[in-house]
Amino acid sequence: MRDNPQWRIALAVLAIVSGLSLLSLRLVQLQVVDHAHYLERAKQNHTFRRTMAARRGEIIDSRGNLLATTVPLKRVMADLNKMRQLLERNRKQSLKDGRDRLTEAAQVAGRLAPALGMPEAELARQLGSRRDLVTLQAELDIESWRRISEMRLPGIEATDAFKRVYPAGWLASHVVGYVDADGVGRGGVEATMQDYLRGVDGWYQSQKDALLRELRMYRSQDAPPKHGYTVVLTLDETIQHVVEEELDMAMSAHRAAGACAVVMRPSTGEILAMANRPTFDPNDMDSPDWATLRNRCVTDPYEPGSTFKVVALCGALESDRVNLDTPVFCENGRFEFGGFTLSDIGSYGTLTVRQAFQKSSNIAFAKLGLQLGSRGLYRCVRAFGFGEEALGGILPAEAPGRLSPPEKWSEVSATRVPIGYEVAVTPLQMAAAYSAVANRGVLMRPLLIKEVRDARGQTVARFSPKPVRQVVRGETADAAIEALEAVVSENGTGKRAAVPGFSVAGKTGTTKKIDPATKGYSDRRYLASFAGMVPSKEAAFVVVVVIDEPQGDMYYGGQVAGPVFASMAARIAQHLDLEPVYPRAEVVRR
Amino acid sequence: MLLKRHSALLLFIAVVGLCGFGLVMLYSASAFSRQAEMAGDPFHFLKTQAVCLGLGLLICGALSFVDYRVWWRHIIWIAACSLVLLALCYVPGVRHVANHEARWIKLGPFIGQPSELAKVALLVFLAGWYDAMRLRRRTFVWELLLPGLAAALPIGLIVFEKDIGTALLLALVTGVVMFAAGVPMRLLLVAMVLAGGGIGVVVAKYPEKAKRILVWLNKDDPEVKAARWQQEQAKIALGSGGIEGVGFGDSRQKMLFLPEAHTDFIFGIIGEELGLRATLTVVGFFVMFVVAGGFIASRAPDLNGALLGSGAVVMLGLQAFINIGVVTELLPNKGISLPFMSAGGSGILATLAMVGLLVSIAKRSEDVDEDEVEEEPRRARARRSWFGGSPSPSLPGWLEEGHPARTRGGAL
Repeated sequence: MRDNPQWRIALAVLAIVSGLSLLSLRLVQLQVVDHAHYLERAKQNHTFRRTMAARRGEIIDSRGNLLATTVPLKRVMADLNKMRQLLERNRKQSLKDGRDRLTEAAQVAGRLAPALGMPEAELARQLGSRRDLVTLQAELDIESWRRISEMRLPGIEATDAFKRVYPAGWLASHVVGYVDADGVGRGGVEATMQDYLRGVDGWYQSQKDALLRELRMYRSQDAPPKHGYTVVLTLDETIQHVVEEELDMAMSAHRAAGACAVVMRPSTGEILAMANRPTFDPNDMDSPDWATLRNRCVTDPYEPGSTFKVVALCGALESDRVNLDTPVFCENGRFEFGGFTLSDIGSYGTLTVRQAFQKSSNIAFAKLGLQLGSRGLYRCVRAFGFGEEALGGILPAEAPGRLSPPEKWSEVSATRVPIGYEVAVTPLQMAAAYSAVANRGVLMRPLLIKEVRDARGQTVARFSPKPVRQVVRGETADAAIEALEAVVSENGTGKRAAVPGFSVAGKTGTTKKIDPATKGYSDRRYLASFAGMVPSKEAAFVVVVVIDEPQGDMYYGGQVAGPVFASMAARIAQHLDLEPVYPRAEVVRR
Repeated sequence: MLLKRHSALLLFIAVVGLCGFGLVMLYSASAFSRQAEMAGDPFHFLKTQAVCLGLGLLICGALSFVDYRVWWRHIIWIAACSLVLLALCYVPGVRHVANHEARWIKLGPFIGQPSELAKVALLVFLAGWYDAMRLRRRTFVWELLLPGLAAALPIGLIVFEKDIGTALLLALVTGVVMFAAGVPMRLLLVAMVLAGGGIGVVVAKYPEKAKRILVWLNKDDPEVKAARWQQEQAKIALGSGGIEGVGFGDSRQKMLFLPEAHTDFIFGIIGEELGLRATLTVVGFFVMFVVAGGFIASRAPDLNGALLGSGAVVMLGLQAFINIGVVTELLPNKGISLPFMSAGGSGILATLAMVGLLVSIAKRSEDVDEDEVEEEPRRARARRSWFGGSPSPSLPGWLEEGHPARTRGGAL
């Protein structure tokens, strides 16, 4: 005999209904009480922000030649999940209609390997990995990618990437600089103009599925990238090329440790070329030799030696107590002063200032320095821009040079500074000072960047020539140029710097380097330099050449740097289309 | 009184509501699934499910017109058929393995889950068995051992298919049907001990399954955290839906974050897209289904109907409870689908077959209403026409001593 099952059924139903009621409470807890918490978790799951890299701006020379550019590339990746799925689908369809389709990862590897330039086995191994996404080739050119994308290989995808390229290679590499692996400028203009060049990365906010694929319909806040500005340099690629080629020849001819040269347009201060040896190729910065990265023209001050005499000459002429014909007694080659002996190359008696400059008499210029006094000399040196950065931040690690204030000078300092010792200057400062002489006494601020343009070519900022100060009167500058012309004449130290067909004004310099072992001036290590301008009147360009430690018998500035100057100047004059002028005297002599 | 008069109607409303809403949500949940992506058709699951629903409704209608007592007469064939299909899950070439679980068979283009048929067969068997045993003395062998062993056959087969969830569900339903059939509590306790032993064996044999249960208890272990991924994602879906939901079709979790968004975890997507309003509505529909079904069962014309009806109600109600419990992380991840709503052909067919049985029971009990005394003659006539006996006014006729219905189907 059984009892009534109705209450038992009711009990079972009641149990289930109360279970479902419990679930309702749980639902209220999840969906109402903890709603905010789960909303945040959901946001973490789905939303993502992605940046779209801005294209770095170009660096071009004043004539529009590319010095640095950014080429778009493709980063080729394989979405292995997608590939496996599509291959599976192909297999099924091929079973149905019997047509030939890609069904194995190895087949994909076979098609892809030649296009990527990778060994097929390696590619097959990567495509067979268990991961979701693998990068096959980080930098593939657009053309190769176009060919790959036409193959329509399953799961093979690409994203945009950029690569910095320097079409001119090592040309002007110290000025242009280089970028690191992250595309951040690390040298030269690349570093100092980083903020203009880099542009602003775009970004978008969107949502993704669990396989990290974007759900485009949920994309929001889409800000396109702003591409970087183009920086136009004052450099002239042709002049730069001439200068670098001549430096290379000088380096091998004299087996020098280093060399550098600056070419400047005196009327504006524009730097037309700036080159250094040793140099580097910014395209290949995997393991750079750090010593080659230094832009010696701005980072390495040197004792300028006789090329500096033009400063003392200008100071003396400006004082009105001296003119080019004033006689100076040169002590027959040995001048005892302050316990030190100063000597000349030849034992000169009384020379005019012009002759003393032409023969590069140290004694005569020591005496002019003494006459000028330390304060007067210091003022004059400072007025030419020495002792402070010439460019001021346009190139990294620029040195101000070394110039002590007169209070710290010793008794002999006033005899050493006029001949270019106890003072250290950069080749760029030297070029600026000679430009001031060539520019009738007006010092122009050195100009390296001409303008900045936006990605559409509109000028954003223009840097116009800026006079710093009238260093000396125009007549003084004219007289100094007259003396400089004499140097390059038949009787001067710089006769080898003469450029056929053009009038040249310049000065040689031979500096003893300080020997690191003895801490005194060395008799074997020299800096040979030449600073000059072409043509001598209303010069179109100023060239400063410094050859570091020339080996062999020749080490004088006139012997080593002079000819380098001459061949550079001849080619630059031709490039700039200067009209040759033949001085009457020369014509008569021929 | 509404329930008594219209329980079949309420049942119908609940079923249609769940099926219709389920179909709409299934489309939304499955449109972005990997399978739909592979098939290249966002409507892939919607189409399959719609076909299965149509087929299921046909089966449901057919079963509602056929007397449910017929099935007990053919229980041998039904049982044999379902056991053979279950056994096919072990036959290479026919078996179909997914997610490391071998619970499907593949015959031509059709993939089916034999355990779904086993659910119906087990209910038919248990209800018929206890109806046939109604007059026997309550002995351990006839009340517990024989039906227990018979039920253990399909359950065992399902366990070794690694479908522990369904096996536990069937064991639980078997227990409830035994309870409803009036098996004494002491015998049920013995059954529980036996079942516990069985679970022990299973845990020993499948440590990774045991881990799946332990995972649910230990919440801080990093490995555990990884294993609870599905449930975590389901909670994120439900929780981020809030009261209002993110909007129909706008679920983000279905973008492959919730791996079984269209099958076992469809409830999570419902919660995310339409919010607490929809989830409570679904739960409400299930309550309505269980209560209406319970009334139908309790008013069944015989013990067979009462047990069959209550078994079906408990089966589907428990399934819903377990599924939603899993989705809300009240229960460990079991692999039980949500009746009427989850994608899955055999599941839908079995579920609607059970509904058909319930309707059939309801139709055969609608005149047996002891509250309406004035209709006594018609009721009596009707009962006579089915059972050929004379009823007492207070109890359904089949509870009376000597009622002919008691000897029905007692062929075993």
